[in-house]
Amino acid sequence: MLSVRGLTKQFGEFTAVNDLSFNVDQGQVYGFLGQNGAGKSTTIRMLLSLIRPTAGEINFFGQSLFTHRKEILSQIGAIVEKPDLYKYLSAMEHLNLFARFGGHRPDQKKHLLLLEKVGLAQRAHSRVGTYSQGMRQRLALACALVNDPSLLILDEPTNGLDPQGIADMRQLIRSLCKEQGKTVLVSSHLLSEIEMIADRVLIIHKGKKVAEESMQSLTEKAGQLKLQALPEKRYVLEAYFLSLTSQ
Amino acid sequence: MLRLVWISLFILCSNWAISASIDPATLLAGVKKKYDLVRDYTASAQLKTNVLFIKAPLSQVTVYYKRPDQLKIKNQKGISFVPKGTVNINLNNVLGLRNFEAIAAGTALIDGINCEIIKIFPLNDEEDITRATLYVDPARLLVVKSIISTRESGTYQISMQYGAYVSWGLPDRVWVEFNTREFKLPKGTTLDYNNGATNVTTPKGPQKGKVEILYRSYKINQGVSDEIFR
Amino acid sequence: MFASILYTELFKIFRRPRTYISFGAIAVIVLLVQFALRVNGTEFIRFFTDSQADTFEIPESQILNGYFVCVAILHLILIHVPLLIALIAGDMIAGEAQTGTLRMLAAQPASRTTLLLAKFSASTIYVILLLLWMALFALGGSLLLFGQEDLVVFRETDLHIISQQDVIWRFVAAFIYAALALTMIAALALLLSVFAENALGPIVATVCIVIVFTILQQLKVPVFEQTINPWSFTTHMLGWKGFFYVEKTSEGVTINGSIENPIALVKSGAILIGYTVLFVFIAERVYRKKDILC
Repeated sequence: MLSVRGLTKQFGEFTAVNDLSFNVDQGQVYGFLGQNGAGKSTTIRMLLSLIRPTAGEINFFGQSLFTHRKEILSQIGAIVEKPDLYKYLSAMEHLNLFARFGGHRPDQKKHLLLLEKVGLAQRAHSRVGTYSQGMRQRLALACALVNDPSLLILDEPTNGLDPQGIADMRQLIRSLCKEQGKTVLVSSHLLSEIEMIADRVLIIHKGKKVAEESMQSLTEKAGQLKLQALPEKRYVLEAYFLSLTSQ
Repeated sequence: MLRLVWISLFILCSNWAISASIDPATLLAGVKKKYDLVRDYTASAQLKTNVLFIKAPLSQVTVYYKRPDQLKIKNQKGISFVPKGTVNINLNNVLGLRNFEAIAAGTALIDGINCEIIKIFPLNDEEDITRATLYVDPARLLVVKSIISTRESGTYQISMQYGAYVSWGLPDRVWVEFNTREFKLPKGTTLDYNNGATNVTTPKGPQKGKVEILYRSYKINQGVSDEIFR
Repeated sequence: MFASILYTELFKIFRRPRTYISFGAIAVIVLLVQFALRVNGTEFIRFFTDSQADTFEIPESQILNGYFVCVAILHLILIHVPLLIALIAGDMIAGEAQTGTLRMLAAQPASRTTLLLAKFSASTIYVILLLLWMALFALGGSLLLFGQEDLVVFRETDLHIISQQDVIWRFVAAFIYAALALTMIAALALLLSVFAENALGPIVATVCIVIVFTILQQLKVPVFEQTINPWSFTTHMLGWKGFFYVEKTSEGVTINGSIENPIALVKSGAILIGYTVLFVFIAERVYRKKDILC
């Protein structure tokens, strides 16, 4: 589905992403983890052609992003960081817009079903300027899904969501993957969430890959670590993550 | 041959005798009597403006006249910049002066017509006209050309050509020449587009302007309302 | 794809309340000018004709007609309308960067070139609609309020009287030319927008550039007249006035349907098109390679 080789991005003297390579298989939920400033957003932006890599290859569906951008991006839906939307447009108008961006005709019935799925059907025609952060996050997800993409790239999809919203999002991502066969690349700080949904995880630190494992393998490795006894509970993944990225 | 010489001498002497004997006041009275045949008229005409700084189309105008001194040129369907001196087309402004001195100033050939030159000096200081020179065709008692100086509007040279309405003393064609002031607006006020044509050097200072009025038809002595001249 | 993106850009422009401020502003400005001329029009005309008042009968009430008022209003095209154009065009990229929607747009399948050209085209359509609106008020409204007569156009060293039968096509041509000039302004604003991440910068910069070059042009300083002015786009933006300068015969009579030095107009139009193409080309080149970090 997605193959990245030797991906590098330099901003002047500063190297944000350094020789990053990873694979995402079809039908997986792929977790993308790293501290603030590790290079996650930069990597995601390169995958979406928002930033030009200094070096490296990005291949989607066996095709190079640099030569088949239009075909590739028409199969990808994405949320990049905080989802900024047009405050003066309604949810339905956003979906119509994104449908046209993808070269499709707006389908009101289909869009309404999609809004129901993300819990926004009641506010379909309200201006986004009146939405809460959580509602905007859900609308952003709906916009990412409107053209039925085969790959979803979600950067912090649970930002601003309440606990129920987080649970719903988690459930939605799982169903997209398991029931609809979509591939999902999720970047998140909520390690517990990644732990619950990801099949495979990539951890980067200071622009470099420090681990790329299946969740099962990560859990086993973490279990082999000698953890200091601490008064509060710690999740396994968090412990392993911190051990990798604290150097 | 000798007979020819005697006949030529006789003609020359006759002419000299006639001109030497022309009384300007009498000539002017004759001309005025002719022009007084017309109480009023409404004429349709074409006005052509030839002034350096004015680009104007050919205008269809109506000329209204009412004795003794009312004359108005109106463009019914458009805009014309009519020189103020055109009011002097109406020679009654000159011929109707009460107190003036007229002096014969010789003859001149104008468009093949031997004209008597009469210089007129109003004696009343309140008159707008300060002096006038009339070139009169003594045979037809018509003014062929006039140069009129006014206090308010400067000096105008008016030339007239007669045709169909000669018996009324009304011209077919009138040319009015006058001095114009330089037309120059302050820089930046008009935000002109520089199309290169404005780079052509326009002469500075006062210039001469000319209008030509070509009369098509007259309605004579059929009444003209005073409202028109207000 | 281009048509879809163009549709979405137009949709966004006309769903935004700010767009209607421009239309409202045009209506208000035009009405204000019409009101001012209604009240003080005769004095305004005397300013131009005073030097000739002793020599000619000046038909001031006739000169102050709908066509004259419309020409006066069209001078707004130089400063006021470019501001309204820059408000929309300058916001095209920088505004989206500022609100964060640019990254969402740029991640769509449409190429950046397609997106930029669609935004430029949408700006152009906005320019045309704004001018049509202006024509409605400036020409239609002025004719209703002031009536119809010959048009008198004043230049620094002469004046042109155009028969009313010969006027309308000139206004049509002038508005078309104005659309060309303002499209160039939209291209400039779009170019500046590509470099910024805040819409205010390109908007202010566009207006400042227009003001500075207009001042340079109007100062008529020889060194500027020889070097900058022939190539300054504000010089050529005034080309719409060229449609109201007529040729005359040697006898001084204007030639109906004529334009004084039409070659100059063609040249000015070509320069404006050249600038438009240049600005859009540079904007496309820069935007294509730009890293979108906002």
